[in-house]
Amino acid sequence: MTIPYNIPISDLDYCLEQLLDHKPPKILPPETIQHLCHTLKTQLLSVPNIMPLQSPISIVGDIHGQFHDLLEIFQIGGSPPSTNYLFLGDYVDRGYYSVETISLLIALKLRYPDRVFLIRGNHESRTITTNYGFYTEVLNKYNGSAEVWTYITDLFDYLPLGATIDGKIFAAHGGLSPSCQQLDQIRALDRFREIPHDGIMADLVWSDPDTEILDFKLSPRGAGYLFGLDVINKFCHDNDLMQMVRAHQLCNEGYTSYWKGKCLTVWSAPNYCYRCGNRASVLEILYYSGESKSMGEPNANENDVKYDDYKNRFEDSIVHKVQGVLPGQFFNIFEASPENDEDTSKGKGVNGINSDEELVGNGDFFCSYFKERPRKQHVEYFL
Amino acid sequence: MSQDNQEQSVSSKESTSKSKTVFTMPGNRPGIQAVHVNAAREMVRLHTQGRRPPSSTTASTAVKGPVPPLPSTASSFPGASPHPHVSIPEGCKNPQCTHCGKVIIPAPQSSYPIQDTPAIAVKNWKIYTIKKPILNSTELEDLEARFHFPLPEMIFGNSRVKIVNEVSGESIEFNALDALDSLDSESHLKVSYHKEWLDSRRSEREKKEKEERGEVESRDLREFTDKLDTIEPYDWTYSPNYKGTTNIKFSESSQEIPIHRLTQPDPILFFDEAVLFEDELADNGISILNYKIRVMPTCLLLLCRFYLRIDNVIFRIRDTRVFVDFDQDLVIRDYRQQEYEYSELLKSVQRKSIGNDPKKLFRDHDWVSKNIPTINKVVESNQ
Ligand SMILES: [Mn+2]
Repeated sequence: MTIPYNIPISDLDYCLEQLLDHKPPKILPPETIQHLCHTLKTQLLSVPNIMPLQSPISIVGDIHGQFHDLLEIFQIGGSPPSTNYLFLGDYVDRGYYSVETISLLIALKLRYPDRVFLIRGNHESRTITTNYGFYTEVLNKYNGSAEVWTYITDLFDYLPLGATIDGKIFAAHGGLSPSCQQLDQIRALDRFREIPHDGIMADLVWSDPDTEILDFKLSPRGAGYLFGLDVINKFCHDNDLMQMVRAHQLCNEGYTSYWKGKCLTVWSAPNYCYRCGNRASVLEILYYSGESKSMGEPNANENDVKYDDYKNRFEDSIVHKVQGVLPGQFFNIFEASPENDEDTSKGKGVNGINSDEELVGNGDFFCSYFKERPRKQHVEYFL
Repeated sequence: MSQDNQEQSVSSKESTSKSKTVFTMPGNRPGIQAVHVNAAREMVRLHTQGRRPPSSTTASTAVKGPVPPLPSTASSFPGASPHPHVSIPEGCKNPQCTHCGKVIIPAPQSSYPIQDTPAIAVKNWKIYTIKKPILNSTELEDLEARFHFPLPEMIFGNSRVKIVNEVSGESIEFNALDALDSLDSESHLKVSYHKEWLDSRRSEREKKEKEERGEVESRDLREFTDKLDTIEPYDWTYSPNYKGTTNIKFSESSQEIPIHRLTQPDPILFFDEAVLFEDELADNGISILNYKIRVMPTCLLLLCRFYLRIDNVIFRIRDTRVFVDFDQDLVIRDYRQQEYEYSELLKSVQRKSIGNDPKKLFRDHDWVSKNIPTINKVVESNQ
């Protein structure tokens, strides 16, 4: 191969700059995307299905193409390389900036390989992205060519399926699988493929916790699982885990704690789809507290900077009880970025999406002072 | 400029020694940093300032403070209005256009969640809408007694559209919770790969039983699925049988909604639209209930639409249209159901060979509505 294994840092910084210093963000040329994807694929080949990671680390849930809200996360939670990030998948679809979002994450991963970690969500899939918007967005932004979509969805096949933090927390996009009792069964999977409809790989990205049940239940829609308390207890016990952290489910508060923190949902797309009005969060895991101290006072070295930071920012032992997290953890909650609000009122027409649509209705409907910024879709002669 | 070139040549010289430079770019740039994020945000802020009305607020743009009072009462409605029967009721915080008096939706100052309640009154009729965020966890808990099935992932349970005749007391409103009360007790529909999924699960179970007979110890999480099948059946497609919440005495009528009055270019005094509930059916399609309303000087049209797409299975639309003639206090309600097999519509799209992204059309509810057959229709009126 003539393509180098590593891309020079300056090249990566240039990519980041294209995406960050322009409004709207500049999309990267297809050749660049191809190159980034190729290099990242090569690197991901040697990454295990479950990445062993350490605290401190911030865990991010679904983003769904809400690029500016992703920037908001770096704003409130610190940016790489000074903060470590684990992203739990669902980078694309639904929002208006899937292309920019996944491009930024790929560039960041290559730029800071030891600081940024990406795992696979159910939307990192060819079928799902053709149904939920990413494919269409690529066609709109790249002059009708699906080339970039092909590069990126090929890369998706290489993303790891989960991570452990300090060996005690298991992180995945969706949930547990009845076909999987040991983490080693996940480690042994051949993950380099499209997400199948069934089996461990499917369940990991699709299943949901349910506090009403104890065991597994089938969803009435005919596929997919819900898992209950006995399931998570057994899984944690058998794998010497304290907790499962996952994303995948929208919630108004931006996070959900199940079973006193045994399972957490982190949701990172505020005002999801530009209309839900929900908050979002990032789960900051500052340190791991031993089991003897779990749910008690944070146990940390007084000289530990991380702990002092934690202590200064939050009244210790109160926050984790309110949020239903374990000591040393904290949901950093945030609201939609101003740009999200902007997209909300604009409805459509961002960065090439639906650029073929003409203003509906006639301009007279908008008061004179809106003339410099005509809006779409606010008045419609529907029948 | 020349400095940039210099930088470029330096960086390319540097990198050719190691590897070929892939992208042209300036030299040592920092990675993503808060300052970058700030810069991007600042650009957006400048860009979006045009959103604020310049005239009345120029003085206050520098000072972040309370929003200046806006013309919002009937008395401030321009006397020169060509429609003397139109007024803006108390409580409506949306400003009016100083030119034409139309209600501005959303109000220029509103940020999501849109908390204002835009409203308009024409003759005896008052029309208002409320848009709020999705229900929070406390609100959802309170609903557990009312609904004994998993609710859609997005419920805008506090949003509604309501039309009231202030003289006769007649009213009709559309809201999510009443719609969800009207679901069938279960649905015969299953996702497309249901059989395949069930088969693989069965064969897994057989495998396990074999293992057990061979006295191979194989305790895994599958044991939790043995005693059960699905959770209590419910209509997971969330297809409501809902024609609005109303006290109007409707009777079947031969009087259709007069399309000619809706196709003439009357000015729209008020337009609003919102989603009432929405669910992605775990990435198997979409189930969504939304409404649109437009108010003209002599009549209004409200459309509450349920749209269901189960990928590779079915399309289903249930439309309730309400037409009000303000002069005669006439209300016509038109309810129709449409259904079509997914494969049939896909075939007809492929016959027409519409571009390389046929599924884009399946996200266009109007397009689907125009291209699938009506299976049932009821027209009623209050007179
Ligand atoms: Mn998901």
